[in-house]
Amino acid sequence: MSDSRIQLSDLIAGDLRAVADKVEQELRTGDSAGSASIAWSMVKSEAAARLHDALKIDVLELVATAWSKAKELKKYGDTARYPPDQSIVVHLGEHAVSCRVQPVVEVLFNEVSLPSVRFNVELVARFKSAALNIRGGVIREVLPGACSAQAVLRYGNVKLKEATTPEVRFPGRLGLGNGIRIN
Amino acid sequence: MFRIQVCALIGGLVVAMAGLPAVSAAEFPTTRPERSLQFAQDIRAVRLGVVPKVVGYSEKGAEATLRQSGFLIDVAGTEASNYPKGTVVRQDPPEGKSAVKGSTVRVWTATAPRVLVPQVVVPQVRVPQVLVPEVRGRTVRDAETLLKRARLGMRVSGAEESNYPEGSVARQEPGARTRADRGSTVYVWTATMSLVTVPDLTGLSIDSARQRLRDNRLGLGATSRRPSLPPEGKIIGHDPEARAQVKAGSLVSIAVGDASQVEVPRLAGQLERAARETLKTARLRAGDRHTEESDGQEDRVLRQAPEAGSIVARGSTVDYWIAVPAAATVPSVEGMRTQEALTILKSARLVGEQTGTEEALRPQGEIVRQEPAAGSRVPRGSRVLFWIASPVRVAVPDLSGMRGPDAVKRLLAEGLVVGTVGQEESEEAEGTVIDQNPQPAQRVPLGTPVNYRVASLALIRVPSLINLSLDRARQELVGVHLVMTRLPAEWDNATRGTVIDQNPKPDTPVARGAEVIVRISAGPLFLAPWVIGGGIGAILLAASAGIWRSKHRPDGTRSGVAAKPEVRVRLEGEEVDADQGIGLDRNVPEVRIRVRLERGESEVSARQLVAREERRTS
Repeated sequence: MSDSRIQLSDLIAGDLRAVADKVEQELRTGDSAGSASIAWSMVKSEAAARLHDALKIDVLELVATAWSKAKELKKYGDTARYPPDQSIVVHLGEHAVSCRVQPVVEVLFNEVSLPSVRFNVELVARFKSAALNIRGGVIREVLPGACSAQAVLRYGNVKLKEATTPEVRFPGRLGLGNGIRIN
Repeated sequence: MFRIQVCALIGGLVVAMAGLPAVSAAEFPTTRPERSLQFAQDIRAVRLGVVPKVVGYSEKGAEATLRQSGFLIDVAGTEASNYPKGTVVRQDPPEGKSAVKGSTVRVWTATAPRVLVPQVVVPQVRVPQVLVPEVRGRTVRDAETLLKRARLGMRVSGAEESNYPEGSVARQEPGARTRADRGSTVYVWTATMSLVTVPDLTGLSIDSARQRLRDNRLGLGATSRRPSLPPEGKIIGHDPEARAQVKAGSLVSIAVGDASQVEVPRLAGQLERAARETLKTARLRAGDRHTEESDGQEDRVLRQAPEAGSIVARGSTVDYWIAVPAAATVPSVEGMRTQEALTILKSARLVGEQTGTEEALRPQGEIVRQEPAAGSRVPRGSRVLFWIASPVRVAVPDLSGMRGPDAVKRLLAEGLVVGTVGQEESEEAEGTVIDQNPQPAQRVPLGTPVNYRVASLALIRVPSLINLSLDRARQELVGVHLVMTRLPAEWDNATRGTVIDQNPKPDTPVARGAEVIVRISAGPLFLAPWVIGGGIGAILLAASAGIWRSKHRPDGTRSGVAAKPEVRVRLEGEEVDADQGIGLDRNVPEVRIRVRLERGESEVSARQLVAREERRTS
């Protein structure tokens, strides 16, 4: 499923080694200078690759999770009001969804844990319109319509990488597997 | 009449005197003196008599009366009269006149009575005669008064056309200045106006028309001006019309042509083009064109201003209203399905027609465009065309030569998504796209995943160098673009100078130009103290080789981590682990990397998130 979808790693694509170098630079000048910076310098290349792998998260699922927590959609989680034998197609107007993900890279040197490095990824997706197919309090399908996205990778206050996509139109429906429960 | 009678008398005497000698001469030849004597005797023999009245007598009675008076009777003819048929109605000479006895009195008898006249019994006694006065041209009352003074009665017998004023006496009987029995009745006929034919005055000037009317005993009435073609001032119509029968003296109204004015023609019911032509012919100009909704008479003139028949100055403009079919407002059918749209349009008195499909980011089958646009006013029954959505297709971009991230951006920009990304050994720069599917320029639905492969370094399998001589091993490696590094020789039972170990091992894939470390045999071991020292040195060398190996990836890159790590990724829950052990053997410190994902807060911001909802029963 995720092969045909946009993943967070696609948005923050590119050579993360430069990112790793920046982190190393920050670690050397930061409070955790010393062992953390030494450890990072040893593993930065591989850590960057692992970070990239860890960001292979379906963007749509991230956004759908945000929708599932939106207060305006809370009522659709009420199965008494919206029984499971009824599909509700909720048409969303123009809106923006922002999500945060924090990848934490931990390095163990001979089973000794070194200070971890915490990144911050912020995703903002702007939708002209979208439609959600909700059944039984679960978002089953998404008709995303047109949207654009912006993703920023930070370490602390340092912006390591930023990517913005142009407005992309998605045809048809995109399934969400077992769906995302509205809560 | 009296004069005529006197002349007739004298004439009769002359004839008598002239005729007598002739007769006498023929029958009785005499001498001149005899003839003079005879003439004198004859003259004395001529005797005059008064003509009696025979009017009102029957023919026989008149003959008897005249013979009795010494006159002969001659029925000269008949005449219409109120007297009974056969009754003498006129005589000549009239009664009371002197005439030579033996002469003839001419009488006229009545044909049929015009009015019923009571049978007058004429008394045989002679009554005094009176002179009948002239009453023609007088009113009936005046005539009656005059006749009464003359001791005559009057009776209106009827009316007849006459030039006398209407109602006045047009004829009298007996005539004026004749003698009649005192107390007898004078019959009068009143005048009625005579009818004349109205002449055709068209084309005449006013003066000529006045003269023509006068000649026809008619007068000129009111004169009006009416629009006409040039020349001006000529009569273009009159009332009564030509050949109409009217009373003499009637007035005829005339209409004189006026070329500066025109009469507005009737345009209603004409097609616009014909109406404009009509105006042009009438020397008018078409004014403003208006439209007015109408269920019939489409494209025809409904009304005009000024109205037909109005008199306006030549060259004036005439506005007109063209009928157009009653209009309907086009409803919006965008977003609907075909059947629903057709129903909506039908209720709006329009005809829907699906014209085709149009690529759109809308559910397939949904109407994405309509023509005319919603809100437009169109004639009822007009067609409203609409197009339904079909998947949007885009051309697949050419990714070849792009680096992976650039390819992703390009795909996203085109509305496509990244499909499966693979690697393939290639001579191309590492990380650049070498092929793709679908192929470039192929049109695919929006959102189609595009698979592509990027170039990876070409790997070479390390050949087996064991038991080869050092030179031979070097040649083998050069042949496959690898570099040989030689370690110090080691005591071994193998032939001295041959390769006894190599790293990487045979068949290991390595990058082009990678180093292959070989160890050669120093021949069989001889126990000697220096040999022990050499063995320790070999161990140290081996240890150092292990460390070196730990820093040389098989693909040739120098890194602290392995080239093909065994990565375990769990996407369950909120945590993703990526563990990795590095090092070729246990002598190298172990470094493990773990990546944990923590999901932060999310937020949805919108002025109005939910636009609408649809319930669909499963």
